[in-house]
Amino acid sequence: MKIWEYILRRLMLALLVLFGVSLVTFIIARVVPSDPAALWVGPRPTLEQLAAARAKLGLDQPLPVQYLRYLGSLLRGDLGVSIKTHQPIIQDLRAYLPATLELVLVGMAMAVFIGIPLGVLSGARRNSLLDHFSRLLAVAAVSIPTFWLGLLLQILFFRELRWLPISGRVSIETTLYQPIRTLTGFYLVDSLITRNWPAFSDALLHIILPAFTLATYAIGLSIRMTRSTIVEVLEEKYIVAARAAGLPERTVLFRLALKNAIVPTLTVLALSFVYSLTGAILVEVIFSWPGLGSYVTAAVLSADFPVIMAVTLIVTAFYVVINLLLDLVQAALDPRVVLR
Amino acid sequence: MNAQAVKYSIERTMNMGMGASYIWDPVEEIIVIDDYTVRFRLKYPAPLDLIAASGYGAWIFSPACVEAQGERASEWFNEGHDCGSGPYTIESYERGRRLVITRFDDYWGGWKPGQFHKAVFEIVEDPTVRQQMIEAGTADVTYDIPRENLATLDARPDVVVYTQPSFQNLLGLLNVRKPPLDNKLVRQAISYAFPYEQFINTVLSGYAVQSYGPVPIGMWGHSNRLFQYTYNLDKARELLAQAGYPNGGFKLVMTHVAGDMDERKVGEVWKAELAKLGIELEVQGMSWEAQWDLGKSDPMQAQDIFVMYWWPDYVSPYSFLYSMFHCEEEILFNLGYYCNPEYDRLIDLGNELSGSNRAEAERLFVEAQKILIEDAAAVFFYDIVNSHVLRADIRGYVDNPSYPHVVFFYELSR
Repeated sequence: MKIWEYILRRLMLALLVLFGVSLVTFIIARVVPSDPAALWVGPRPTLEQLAAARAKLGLDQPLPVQYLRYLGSLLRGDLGVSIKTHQPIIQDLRAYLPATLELVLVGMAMAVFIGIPLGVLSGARRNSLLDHFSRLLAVAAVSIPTFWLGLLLQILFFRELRWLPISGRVSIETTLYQPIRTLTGFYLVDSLITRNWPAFSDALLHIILPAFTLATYAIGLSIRMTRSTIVEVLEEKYIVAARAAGLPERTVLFRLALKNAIVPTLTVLALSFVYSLTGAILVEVIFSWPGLGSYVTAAVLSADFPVIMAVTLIVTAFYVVINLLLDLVQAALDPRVVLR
Repeated sequence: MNAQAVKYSIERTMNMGMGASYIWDPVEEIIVIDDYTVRFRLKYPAPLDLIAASGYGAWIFSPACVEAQGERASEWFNEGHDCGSGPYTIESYERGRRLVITRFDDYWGGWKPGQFHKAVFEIVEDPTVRQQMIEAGTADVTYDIPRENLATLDARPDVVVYTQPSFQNLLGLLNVRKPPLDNKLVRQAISYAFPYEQFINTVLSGYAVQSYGPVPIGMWGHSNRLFQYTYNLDKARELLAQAGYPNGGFKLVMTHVAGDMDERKVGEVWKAELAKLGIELEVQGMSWEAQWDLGKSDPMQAQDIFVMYWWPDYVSPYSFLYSMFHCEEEILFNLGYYCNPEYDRLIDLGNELSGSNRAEAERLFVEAQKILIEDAAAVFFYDIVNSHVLRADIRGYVDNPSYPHVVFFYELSR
């Protein structure tokens, strides 16, 4: 099968998945006991205000009509309006999604650049001091509760050492005197493009603690995963041959062994990436990071169903696309993988 | 800002018919007399001074500025713009993150040296982070710090904790239509079964005061001469026996907003106490919308006890006394379904007089509360005491319960 045919087929399947998810979330939103009209009008409404809101939101229509209208809006790229803030959801997502993506991407970069090398070295030097240390680190990293680690890091690096800021994406001074011009919504990228160096370093300092807190689980996971696959791969004959041929150890480990060992690690990191999009909530709350997690939690707490449905669809789309990319990358890295 | 702006702003709010616009319901017509005088012609007597001072829906803005936005004015406001007449104007607003207000040089009240030129509002959800920020001096004002930490914070020389009773109270509206709470004696009995003092001192660390009826402490119409139910299980048993339930033997359902820990703890503590009387209390946490929906349904199928907070839209006892206890044909907020024509007569008359003869209005409101308390229409748990934490070098702060959690930066200096 040609690769584009495969991609097309997967994308068609993705559409079906998204349709199914939209239907299920819509039904759940209507089954759960709540009154969107009451949320729309705010506290202390009159009965007339409630009735007007019901008509405005189309809640007086039969359910199939409501769903078809919703689907029609989706097809036009309209995710609807938050019934709590009355803002178009797409506008909110433009503000919140880049913040979370930036946080998660920096976290994943930390996982890749800390977790994978440690895993490789740990696997290559089994039972050495480094191996014991990284195994201990891996167990600690996957078991430590995120909120607790976040608070500890804040106490250490903000309260005691005064090295790093405690919350937010940039400091008040940057907002007032060196505001970042929004291009992509990724503060690091935007400040870099506009050469706003003070804002760049400020944004970088702000992202270190939350990104590291978010990354600890992925760091631990990638250390363990890389180590165990490296241990297996290093016993393969081609590695023995490479070593016998006198290739430098660094080339053997990071070029030959890692290429075959990295596929399972990439798989878990990719899934961990998508999970973090909404799973970053605890980190976002502790570090006052205005991202998707905080946004959707506020929506869940106030039963703001259009927002919950929109975020569910977006995250589903991310899952589908990341899984597809992962399959393509696996096929490229490992000739044994055949796309069907 | 002139009389024309006042007329325009209030008429626009009234015409929108959304949010708290109903506070202007008594207004028939607004007449501009001259540049700085307006006359309000009312449909019925109402305390217009209090309405105009409301924290909700009583803002005055520039007509030209609003008109410039055309039909998009509401969206434009929601996006974080202002056309106000106050001392500060919005400099920047990032949704869910940060708001910066900066001084308006031509403010009609003028400016004195030492006043703040800018104020920055940051959304910090985690209370421990807020506490760390105020301790480190990276924030100057905050609130909603865990009550148990306030004493430690107040002991610091660089931080001051301001406490002040708020106009917000917690009540349990009792379903007077459905047995067994349709019996006044049972309602009185369960009112005696809550350990008010102990709950306030332990669970709330003292940051509340037991209510005297529905009108909170500090507000006109409040009276500490009203009868207060206290924790007395013997009295409760006696009343239950008189009502024909000597050993309890019935079940009550209490609803509250899920996620509100204080409401949940009220339920848990009360459940334990009622169990001693042979009464089973089922505590159900649900979303506000679901709780309210159930409350608005058929009273015979609805909850027995509806626990909720109330605060006034403008500073009048009528907000409490009317919304929760006045007869309602279609249920809105009278979620205990209480209806007493004599009570209604007293509070309606009180409301009519509250603009012209406040002393008499107050007397009528207190009389009406006596009826409510005797009827045990609700359990009046406590009036909340608010706490605000400021850096010690900030001067001029006054907590005004009419505007909960609003900081008037114009009054502050360092």
